Amino acid sequence: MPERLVPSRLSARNILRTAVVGVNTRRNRSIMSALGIAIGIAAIVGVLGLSNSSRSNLISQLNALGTNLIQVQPQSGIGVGNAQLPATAAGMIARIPHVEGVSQEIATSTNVYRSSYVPSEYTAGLSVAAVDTNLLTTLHGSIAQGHFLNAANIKYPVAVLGATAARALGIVSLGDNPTVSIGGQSFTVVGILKTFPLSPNLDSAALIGIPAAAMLGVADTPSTIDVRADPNNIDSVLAALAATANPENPDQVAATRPTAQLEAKAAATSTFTELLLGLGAVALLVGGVGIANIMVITVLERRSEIGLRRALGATRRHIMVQFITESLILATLGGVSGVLLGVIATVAFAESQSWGIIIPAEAIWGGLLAALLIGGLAGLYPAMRAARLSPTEALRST
Amino acid sequence: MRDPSAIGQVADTEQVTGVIRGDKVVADLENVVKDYPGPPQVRALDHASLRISQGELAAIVGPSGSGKTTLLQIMGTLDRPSSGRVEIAGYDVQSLSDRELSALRAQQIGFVFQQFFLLERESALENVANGLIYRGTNTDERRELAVHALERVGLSDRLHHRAAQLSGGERQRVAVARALVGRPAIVLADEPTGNLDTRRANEIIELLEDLNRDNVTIVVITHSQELADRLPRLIRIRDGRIVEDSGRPSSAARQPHDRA
Repeated sequence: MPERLVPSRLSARNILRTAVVGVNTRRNRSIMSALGIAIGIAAIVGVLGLSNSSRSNLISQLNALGTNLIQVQPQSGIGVGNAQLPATAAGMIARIPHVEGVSQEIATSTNVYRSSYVPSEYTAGLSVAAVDTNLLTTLHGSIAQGHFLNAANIKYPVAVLGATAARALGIVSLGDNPTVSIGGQSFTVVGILKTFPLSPNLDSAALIGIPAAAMLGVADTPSTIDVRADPNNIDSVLAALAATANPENPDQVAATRPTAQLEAKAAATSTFTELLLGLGAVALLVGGVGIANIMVITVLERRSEIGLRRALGATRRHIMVQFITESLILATLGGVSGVLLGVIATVAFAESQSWGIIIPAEAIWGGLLAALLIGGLAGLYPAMRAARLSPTEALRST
Repeated sequence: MRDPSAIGQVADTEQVTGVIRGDKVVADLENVVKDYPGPPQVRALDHASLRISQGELAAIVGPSGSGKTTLLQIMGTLDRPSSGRVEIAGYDVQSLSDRELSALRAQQIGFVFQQFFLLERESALENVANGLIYRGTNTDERRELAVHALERVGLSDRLHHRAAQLSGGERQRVAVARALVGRPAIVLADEPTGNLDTRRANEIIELLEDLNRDNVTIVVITHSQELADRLPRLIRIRDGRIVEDSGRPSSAARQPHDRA
């Protein structure tokens, strides 16, 4: 007997060469079946990219606002009655260790009007609050135009408008020293604020100095005390707050952290993300089924090619590898274009929201890996069918 | 690397009176039976014995259903006999695994089919080079050998045409080039002229005769008596039995084959 017969091992290049034939021969169909995977991967990459970008936006907001803000308010509710914080509360709180800043707000029952001619019931939902000069620093707020209340003007009838209040009153510029009417008196508007993410109620308020408010007969019991604590000792500050603010009735003091809401929002976003990811996974699965379907049809249609290749000396394994590779090529095409689509969608949307763009690397390689995995699985059964086909059967079928 | 100009020639042969013949047997079939499981069970080959020597050009002729395609498939190791012995290029087919048979086909057997079986979007060159892909020949060598094979079949001006752009005759030439590019021990042609008009059919037969003069062993399967009559050896098959074999041209012409 002559030398032993050993089938050749196809190099990766030759495997690709055999597999590309099929993809190339039916281009439209290849594109369509790759599209299924592309949509799934794009959905997953897009969802991960968008949720991460939006979360990073929330987190950067949180960082800007600081999670160390505590708001102290009188505890209201059944059995407590009309609780009030003592006028001395702010001064007492300032002495708690690790407290970095304190400012107080006093809600008033007066309203702000564009002029004294406006009927009193047209309040536009705007309120008037008396505040300290350091409120802006404590709340990390910022001024849009003009300046805030300061030691020089706090005793005089001047007002700083919240962003919503300014818009409602139709004051867009401080150019001609606009005035508003508060408690029947004319107040000069010296500043307009940007929005306060942590204290939205101030957005629709006109802020005046506490001494000026006293002239209008406003009591000096604070409605809210804003406390900045050392971020590492928030708990110890929280523990001491109630007893310090109102030693007689510590149970009438409520201390909350407004950033807790934003943190909850970030957490809620991630729940929603998981749901969308699930949908993306379903799309991917459907894409995989699409590829499997196409590959089954391809194998049926290309029996004669399989027969020819067996006649040319291809082993069953050669045929199997060819069709799995073909399926992998389709899935890779889909995966790569899906990742690109997902990235483009994320960048476009994040840009439109002026968020920072964050696309986790796991989304990209995870997407490609998922595509490959699905391609391999989808190609497995059709490839096995192709390999099982006997050469004579394959050649007979034309 | 082999000398590409040697495509279509077989080494270690002797030249006798203008016709190159070797004594080496490239296909040896003995008492081959092929049953297709039924119901009803069909006996496609019934104790067929046949010996093809190197350098022969033989026709296997018979009506459809006579078993000639089965005979080609068994000679081509695409199928195994139910019983009997088959030896191709010195290998006993019975003892070989499916993988080894694939390797045997890759190295020793060339096929030409009635339907050509070309990859339509690929160029003539690629199609021929594909004939070597399972032999482990590297890409550059494949291309070079394919160019020479296409030159040999008269298609040097069609190398880069897609198969789909070629005429039927040209397509079959590409298929012939693909079959012989690996210099197989035997080329099996199944109705190679079946899809061609008379003129193209003649051209293909002339090409096969020409290749045979370069000592390529060729077995043509056909139902056409006219084609079969042109070839040096005629093997007639009917109902799975070889009923006539002109044998080698040197032996007595066209006497019933001894089924011993």
